[in-house]
Amino acid sequence: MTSKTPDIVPFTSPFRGELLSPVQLRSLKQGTLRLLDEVGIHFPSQEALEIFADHRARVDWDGQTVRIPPDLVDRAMSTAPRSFTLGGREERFDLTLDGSCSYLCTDGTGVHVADLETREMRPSCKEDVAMMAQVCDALPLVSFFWPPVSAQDYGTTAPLHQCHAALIHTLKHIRGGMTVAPPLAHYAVEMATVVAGSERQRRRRPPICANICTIAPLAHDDDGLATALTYAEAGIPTSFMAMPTMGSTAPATPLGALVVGDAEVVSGMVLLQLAHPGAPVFHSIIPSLMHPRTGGYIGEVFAPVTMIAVQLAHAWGVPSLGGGSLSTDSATIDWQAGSDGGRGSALVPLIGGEICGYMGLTDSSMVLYPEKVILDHELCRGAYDLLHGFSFDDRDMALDVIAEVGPRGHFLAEQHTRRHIRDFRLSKLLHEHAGDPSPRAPREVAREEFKRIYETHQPRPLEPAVLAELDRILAAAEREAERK
Amino acid sequence: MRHSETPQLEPIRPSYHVTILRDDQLERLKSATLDILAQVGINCPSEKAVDIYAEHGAQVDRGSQIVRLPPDVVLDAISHAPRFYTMGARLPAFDIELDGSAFYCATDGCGVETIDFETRQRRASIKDDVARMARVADYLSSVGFYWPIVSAQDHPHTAPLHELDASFSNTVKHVQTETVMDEAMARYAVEMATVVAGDEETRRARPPLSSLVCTIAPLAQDKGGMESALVFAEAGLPVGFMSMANAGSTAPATLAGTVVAADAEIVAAMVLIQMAHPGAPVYHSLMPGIMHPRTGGYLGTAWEGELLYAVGVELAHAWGVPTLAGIFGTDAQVPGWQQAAEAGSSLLLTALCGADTGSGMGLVESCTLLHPEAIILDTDIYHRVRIDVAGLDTSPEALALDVIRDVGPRGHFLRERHTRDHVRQREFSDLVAQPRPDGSYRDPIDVAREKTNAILENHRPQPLDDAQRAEFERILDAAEGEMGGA
Repeated sequence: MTSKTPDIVPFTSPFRGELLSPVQLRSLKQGTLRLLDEVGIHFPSQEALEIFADHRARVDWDGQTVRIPPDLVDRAMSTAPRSFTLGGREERFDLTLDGSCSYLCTDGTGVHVADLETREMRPSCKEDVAMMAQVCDALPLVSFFWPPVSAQDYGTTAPLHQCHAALIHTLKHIRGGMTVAPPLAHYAVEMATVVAGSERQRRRRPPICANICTIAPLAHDDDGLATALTYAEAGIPTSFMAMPTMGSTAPATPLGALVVGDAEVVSGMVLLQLAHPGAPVFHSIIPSLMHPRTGGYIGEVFAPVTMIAVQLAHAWGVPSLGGGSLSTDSATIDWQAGSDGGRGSALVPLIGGEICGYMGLTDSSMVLYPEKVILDHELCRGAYDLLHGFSFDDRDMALDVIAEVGPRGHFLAEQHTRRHIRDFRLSKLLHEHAGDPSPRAPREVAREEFKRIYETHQPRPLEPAVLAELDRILAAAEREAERK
Repeated sequence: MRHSETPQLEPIRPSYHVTILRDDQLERLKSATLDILAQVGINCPSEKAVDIYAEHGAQVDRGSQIVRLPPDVVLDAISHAPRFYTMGARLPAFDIELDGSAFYCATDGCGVETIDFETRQRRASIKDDVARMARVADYLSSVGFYWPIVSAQDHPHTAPLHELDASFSNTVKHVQTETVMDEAMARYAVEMATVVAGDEETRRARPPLSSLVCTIAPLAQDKGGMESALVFAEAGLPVGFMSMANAGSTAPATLAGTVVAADAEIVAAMVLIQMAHPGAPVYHSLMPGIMHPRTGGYLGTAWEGELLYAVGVELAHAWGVPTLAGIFGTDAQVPGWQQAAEAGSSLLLTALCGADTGSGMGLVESCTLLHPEAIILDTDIYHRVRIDVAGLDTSPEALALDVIRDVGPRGHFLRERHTRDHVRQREFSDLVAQPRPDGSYRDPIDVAREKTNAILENHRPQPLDDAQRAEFERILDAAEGEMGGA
């Protein structure tokens, strides 16, 4: 018995804020261009260095550093599409990245799981990815599934198994491409082709996208570059994600961190455009702060920083992965996680960004409490209700009912009340009561809801032939991994 | 004992704004309010107030105590209300200028129970709780002005005056009372404000005290509350009116219906004040709730309801007066995930809508229960929002291109002078990421509790001088002699 996957709900907002003026944005981009031209970026990849050399960038072969002149950056970025589609299993799950709305995603990629039943903390495994995909399939505000944890029960092929578990357990778009050993990258592409049905469909409505992290400051990872080039050649949309930390791997100023991150991301996008003009790319800067006393990682940065990161992406003419985030540095679901989630969800519609949200993990994206995705989803639903604008007509103002009731009356007996009182979308998590009048703990209700969905929601499976083909691809990948 | 410095206020100064309502929507809401006031009217059980309404063109039915206000009468009266004014403080450095550029927040108020500071047992609130929390609020740069946070129930007959005594004696900031609800009590409160200000002229120019009066939904006023408000206004002290209309029970079960019913209550009260004392400083406060359809319970933080806090800001400004916005407030019973999750969104949205003032920090359980550490937790969220809506330094020094060039690819910034100069300027929570010896992090609620205790142990704001103290004692004695409790 399969269940219908509900339509996804993108966030549109009339309240989006833009902090930088066009002149300020141009000046920030010029900072990036100066860094690319004068300081350069470390590209530890012969293939990448050759591509840059072919296009007349200044390549320091010994230092593996590339200095990219501004006109080359501009020329390369001019071929990057501003808008493209991330495909779902059905067209109603396709995401159109054009800046008109934000699609919410899960967070990734954690390594520990608080087991749903035993509550013991254990290493994550493929089955966790499958479970999360199945539950997120039923959550309308999750539009984009990023495997929240790593399939650590599979060594070097773990990213492929994460992609596999997600593809077979949700109809939504999957962040299925990650940095893998370069010979394994094409297996992710093959899986995407099988699910899409053909190479043409894979390019038109790619069911997976990829994310490659840069190395701050101003460097790339060799396997990441090779993997990204494979994905770009296949038309798999690819984001470069910079994670500069103010004070350690970036200047201790937000703008300094943004320009470092921007230079890393833009250099990666330029490489892909030079190699495969028109390849769909997107831009992501996730800055953080080094705690000045402990040296610890503070993932929470303030809205203006994220807002400018989104503006920068759009100023380069590409979509943004980044915006309001429900991710938390807290180790568990506590006051801090509530504070981060409440604030992050409210910022989603204010900041914009095509892909954002990052639901479901704690401890700086390291730990999965399965019920957190239910809590985060509820906060996002609240933000959606709160920040979706306010429309009303004359009937809504109910002047005749007010006149009928009059001063010091009450509205309990009014037909109007009976008709409309259920229209308010009250939270089942926040306003749920036990048998007595005392409210229940939202986390407890969320865990119950998670289990209910997990037990009852069965997304439409892939065709048996597709499943068999995916198994064959995974088996081939395993053999190749063993050969290495 | 030496007193300690009160830290400067840090109001929220948004660098960008959002607008919820279009101008035509605001006009429709205002027009509906005018229709209600003209056709349905307001129940006003105060003869004194009814007389004022009648003298200024209202249609008054003295039998039913219904006052109907023609639109031109409303618009004429409200045109005298100032949009900008000063809320003074005991020390001028803490005066609040309501000039549209900044958002000042207050504690929540009039809770009835306290988690005891020492025993952690739940008990009825007392005057000493008001005093202690005034000292905590005095220390916090997030708190622009102080609402007596709980009721001084150990002084049953004159509780509001004892709350003011405890407040003025323990904070140099502006105090806003929400419990002075009759004329006689109001006169004593005004006397206290004069003592704090030093003279009548200063009291009017920099009023150290303001008042909030709740209306009664639907469409009614409280006799004592309105007569108290008239006394405050006569003395030049700002008075505001809050509607807590509850969708489904005391207001229609639609958001727009709740807004217009509540707005009519607030506007009718402001009109009375302007009729009696044209130009008196007033403010508008829309804090509706939603009735839980199954339990009948009050939901102060239902998402759609919170939208109305922001709508209230825009309506206030459309009437040409400042607002007291709903912020924080939680239906949760204890500080934790839910309390924190519910806390920030209303503050963020009302700030972006340009709110002037707001109240709601420090209580849980629908504004009834004081957890001493909750104000520290709310302060943490306050500062996040303050920075979230602020701008960003875009100077060449902040862009740091030279430093990045010096460090180069794969370097690090740890030993750069630029890092030393700037890393301490970064603002981040001082509640979270506090390490234990084993490297794990402490529970922010424990850290907040410790901070509360540290403030109470160490912070002694500049006290009232001896003459002011003696005057307060005299006023309290006189009030108790008149009202009981002596």
